[in-house]
Amino acid sequence: MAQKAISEYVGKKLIFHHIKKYLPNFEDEYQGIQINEETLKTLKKLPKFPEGYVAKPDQLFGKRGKNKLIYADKSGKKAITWIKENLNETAVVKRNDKDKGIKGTLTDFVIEPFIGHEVEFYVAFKTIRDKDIIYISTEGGIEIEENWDKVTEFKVPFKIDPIPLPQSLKKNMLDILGDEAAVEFISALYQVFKELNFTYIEINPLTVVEGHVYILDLVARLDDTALYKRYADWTEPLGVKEFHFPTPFGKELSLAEKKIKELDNNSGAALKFSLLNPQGRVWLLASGGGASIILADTVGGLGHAADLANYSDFSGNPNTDESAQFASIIIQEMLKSRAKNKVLIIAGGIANFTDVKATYRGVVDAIEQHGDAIKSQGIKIFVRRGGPNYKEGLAYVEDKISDLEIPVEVHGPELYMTEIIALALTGNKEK
Amino acid sequence: MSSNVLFTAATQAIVYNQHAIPIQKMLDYDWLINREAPSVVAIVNPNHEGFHRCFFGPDAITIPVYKTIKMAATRHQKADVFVNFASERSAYDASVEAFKTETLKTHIILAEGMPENESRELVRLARRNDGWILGPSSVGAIKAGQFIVGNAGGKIENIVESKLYRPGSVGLVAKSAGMFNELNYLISVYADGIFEGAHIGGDTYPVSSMLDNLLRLEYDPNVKMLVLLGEIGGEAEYAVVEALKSKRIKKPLVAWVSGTVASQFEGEVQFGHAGARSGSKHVSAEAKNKALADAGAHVPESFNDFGLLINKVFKEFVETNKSYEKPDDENYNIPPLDMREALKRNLVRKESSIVSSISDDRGEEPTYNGKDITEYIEKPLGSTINALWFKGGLNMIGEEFLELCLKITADHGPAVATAHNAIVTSRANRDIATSTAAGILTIGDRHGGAIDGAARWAFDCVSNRVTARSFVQEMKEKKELIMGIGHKIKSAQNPDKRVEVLKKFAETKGIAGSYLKFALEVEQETLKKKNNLILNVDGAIGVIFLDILAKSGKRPYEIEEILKVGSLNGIFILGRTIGMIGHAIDQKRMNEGIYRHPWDDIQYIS
Repeated sequence: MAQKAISEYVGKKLIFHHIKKYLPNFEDEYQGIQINEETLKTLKKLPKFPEGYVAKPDQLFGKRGKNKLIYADKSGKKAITWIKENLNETAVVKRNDKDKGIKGTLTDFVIEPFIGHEVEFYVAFKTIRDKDIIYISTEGGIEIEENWDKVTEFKVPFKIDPIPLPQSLKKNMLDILGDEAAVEFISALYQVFKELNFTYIEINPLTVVEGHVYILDLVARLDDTALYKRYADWTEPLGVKEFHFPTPFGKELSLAEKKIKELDNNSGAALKFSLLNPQGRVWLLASGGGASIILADTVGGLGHAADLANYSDFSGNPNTDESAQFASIIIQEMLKSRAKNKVLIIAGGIANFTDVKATYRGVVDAIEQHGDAIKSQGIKIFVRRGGPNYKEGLAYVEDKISDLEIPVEVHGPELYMTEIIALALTGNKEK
Repeated sequence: MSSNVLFTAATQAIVYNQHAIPIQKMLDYDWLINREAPSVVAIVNPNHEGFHRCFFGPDAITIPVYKTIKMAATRHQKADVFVNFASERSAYDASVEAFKTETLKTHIILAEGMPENESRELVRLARRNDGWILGPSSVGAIKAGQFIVGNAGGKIENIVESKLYRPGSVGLVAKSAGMFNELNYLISVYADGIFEGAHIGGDTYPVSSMLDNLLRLEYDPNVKMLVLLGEIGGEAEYAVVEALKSKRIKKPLVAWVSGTVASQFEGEVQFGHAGARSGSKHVSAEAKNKALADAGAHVPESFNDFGLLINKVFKEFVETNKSYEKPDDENYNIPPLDMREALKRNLVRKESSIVSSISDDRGEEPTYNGKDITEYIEKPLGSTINALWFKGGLNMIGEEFLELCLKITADHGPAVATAHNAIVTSRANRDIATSTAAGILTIGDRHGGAIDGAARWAFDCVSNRVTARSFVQEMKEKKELIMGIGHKIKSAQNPDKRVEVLKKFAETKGIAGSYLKFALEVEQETLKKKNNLILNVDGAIGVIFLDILAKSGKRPYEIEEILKVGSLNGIFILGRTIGMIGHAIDQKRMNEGIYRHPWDDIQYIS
C-alpha cells in the first residue's frame, strides 16, 4: 500500500510549513488545533479567533456537513463542549442518501478559525502514470460532484523535480479563477505536492479573503514508501519524532488484527490478517499476496461468502517462529467462532523462494499448541501448497496433524490451487 | 519503448548487488537449458570488487565483480540486461545510472517499496533511453528455454515440473509474484507451457505496464495466446480493454482479475471527496472482469475455472493450426545439487571438520555449555569461565576462586616480562591485539606458566604418597627447578601478599586440603636451602585448585584430564591479559615513542 491518507490537520500543517519556500511573501500560519482525549487533558485556553470557531472530526472522512458532524459558532468554549459531547461516540457516516454508511468511533477532532467567505474554489491534484492532473473550478463547495462539468482539468507531463507550473498554464488558470493570489498559491502548492511525495490533494473549498488564501477543507494522501526520504519534511512541521498514518474511520482493528499488524511491522515478511466474520465457518491461512486474494475470492465465488471468516496472507519467507505466532493468533480466533463444521484451509500457490518446510513447521507448532481444542471442536484441516521444500513440508504437516488425530487432507501443486477451497467447502472431490 | 524482444538465448546480464542465491539460480537455469555460457557476465557491488565464486553445472567458476555499473558495462558491452537487486532506497539511482551506460537497456527492478515518483520518473527515462523496465517489485521474467531472471520460477525442480526449460506457446503477464509461479505451472498443465512470462509487480505504477507487456507478446510471432492475471484497483486493465477494442491485441487473451472478495471488506474502500470520481466500483474486480469479457477476452466465472478456460482456448489454437508441433520435453540437464542443499535433503553425508562441545551460536540465543547466555548474565563471571573451560565442572567456590585469581594476577607492574613486551610493542605503534599478543608470548614456565607444573608435582606426590623431603631431594639430584617455588624478590621474611590472600581464601572457605598442605611442607624444605624459595603465586593457585577439585568430588582421573591439557595456565593468561591491555592502552594514551634499549645497559662482548 503506497498511497495513504493523512488527517486534515497534518495535511494543512505540512502545506503551510513548506509552501513558504515557493511563495516568499506568504506569511500565514495554520491555526488549527488538534483535539483528542490526550490533548484535551492539557488544553488550556483556545486562541482568540475573531470570527468564531469551527470544530469537526478529523478522521479521513468527508461529507461532515451532510452528516451533521460539524460545529460552527462564535464561542470557543461551546466548540470544546461540542467535541466533548461527541468524543468516543459512535457515528454512522454516509456518502449519500442511498449509502448504508460506515460505523466508527469519533476520536479525533480539529478546531479551526471560522472564515467568513464568498468565493469557493475547488482545487485537486492527482497522479497518473506519466502525468500530474490538476482540477480547478470556481464552483467549489459541497455540490462539487453535481457541478463536475464546471471543473477544468489540466495535465502536466510528469517530472520528478518540483518544478513550477509553466506560465501559460498559470495564465489559463487565472483566466478561469480570476484571482492572482489563488493561482500563485496553487502553483506553489503543486511544488509542495511534488516535493513532499503527496499522491493526492483535494481542497474544497479554497477561498481568498482580502488577499489571504485559506484552505477550508482538505483531503490528502502521501506515498508512504517515501517516508525514509521525507522523514524530516513530514515530522518537523508537526514537532513529532515519528510519523504515523491514521487508521481509516470504521476500520478500528480488533485485538487479533493489531497483534498481527505488530508482527508484520517487526518482520521482513508479509503477515496480513483481516477478520471479516468472527462467527465464520471457513478460516484461511493463506500464503502469497495474489494467491491469498484468489483463495478468498473463491470462497465467495463458490457461493459461501457468508461463511468466510477472514482474509490472511503470510508470505515473503517468514521464519518458523513468525509463522507459528501468526497461525496461533488466527487459530485462537477460529476457536472462538460458534459456527458448526469449521474448516481451516492452509493454502497458497507455488512459492518462488518462501521455504514451505520452515513456514509450515511454524503452522504445525501453532496447531499442536491448540491441538485439543481443534480436535474437540471437530475442525477439519485442508492443505495445498507448492514451492521450495514443499514435499518435506507437506509430509511434515500430514504426519504431525494426523498424530493429533485431527482430520487433515494434504495436497501439493498437482491439485488445482482453488480446488482446495471446493474440497474444504464440500468435504469431497467433485472435479 | 523499444524492441519487443527483451531476452534471447544469447542474452548477457549484469547483476547489481552480489546476491549469491539468485545469481546461482540463473546459472543453474542456464545449465538446465544447455546454454553454452553463463548468462550472468558481471556483478556490481559498490563495496567490493574482485570475483564472485559460483557454479556452472558441475564446474566452479568466477564472475567478475565491479564497484560501479559504468565499469561493469564498459568491460561487458554485449550485456544489455540489468538485473537490479538494489534495495528500495537505491534501486532508482542504480537504474538511472544503468541508463547512462547506453548498453544496459532492459532492467528488472526487484525492490519492493520504491516511491511512486521514482517509478514514474523511470517511465519517462525508459522512454527517453529507448529502454524497458520490469518492476519495481518484480520477481523477474522467464523466456522459456532462453533466459531467466533472479528467483522467477522458483527452484530448479519447479522449473522442470512447470516445463520452463523449453518454450511453449503462451505469453503470460501477471501482477502477483506468487501467482506468476503458480500460473507457469498451470499453463504447463492446461496448455503447452509459457513462451515468455513477465511479472510486472503489484505497484501502482509498474514502469512497463500490463498493456506494454501484453503488446510486446502480441507482436512476438512465437506467442500464440495470451494469459493475464490482474488485480483489483488501478486502471491498467482498462488500457487492455481499449487495446482489445481497437484490435491492437488480436491474439486470444484469457484473463482474470482477482479481488472479488473485496466487496466484503466493509469500510476498506477509502471514501471521501473526489476519490469517488474515480469510482471505487470502476476499479473493482467484478467491473474489470466484465469490461475485459465485453471487449472480447476469455474471462472465467471464477479463478477455479481459469485453467479449464486456458485449456479450451489452447485446444482451439491447436485444432486450427495443423503445423503445430508439441515441444520437446526431454531436452534438459539438471545441475548438481549444492552440498548444503544435498545435506538438507539427506542425499549425501559429510564428516565435520570441527567438533565443538562448549558453545552454540545457531539458535535464537547463543549458549555456553548448553545454557542460554542470559543465564550467565545473572551470575558472576566465574560461572562463564567455568562453563567454557571446565564445562561447568567446578562448584561455586571454584568459580569464586577463579575470579579471585583473575584479580590477583591481573597485573604486576610494568617491569615483568608480559607487561614489558606489551609496552615495547605498543610503543612501536602496533595495535592493542598485537601488543597484548607479544606479552602473552612470554608466558611460560619461568613466568606465570607454572600453575599446571606445580599442580602436577603436588598431584603426583600426594597420589604416590611421596614425602616433601624426598621429593625436594629427588629434584635436587635431577638438578631440576620445582615449578611454583621461588620468587625473584619476595622471601620468607618479605612474604608475597598475593600468596597470603590465596591461602587465607583456602582456609576461610574450608577447602585447604592435602595438596596445599603438601606444598607448604615442600616450601619448608626449600626454605632451608634459600630464603626466597617460597611457594609463589603460580604454585599457590595450582595446589589450591587441586584442593577445590578434590573437595568438589572430582575423581583422580578427572583431575588428571584437567592437568593433562594444561588448562590451569589459562588462569594466569586470562588474568594478565587485563594488565597487558592496560599497559598497551597506557602507552598510547601518553603517546610514548619507540623504545630503544640504552647502550650503557648492554654489555657488549666479543
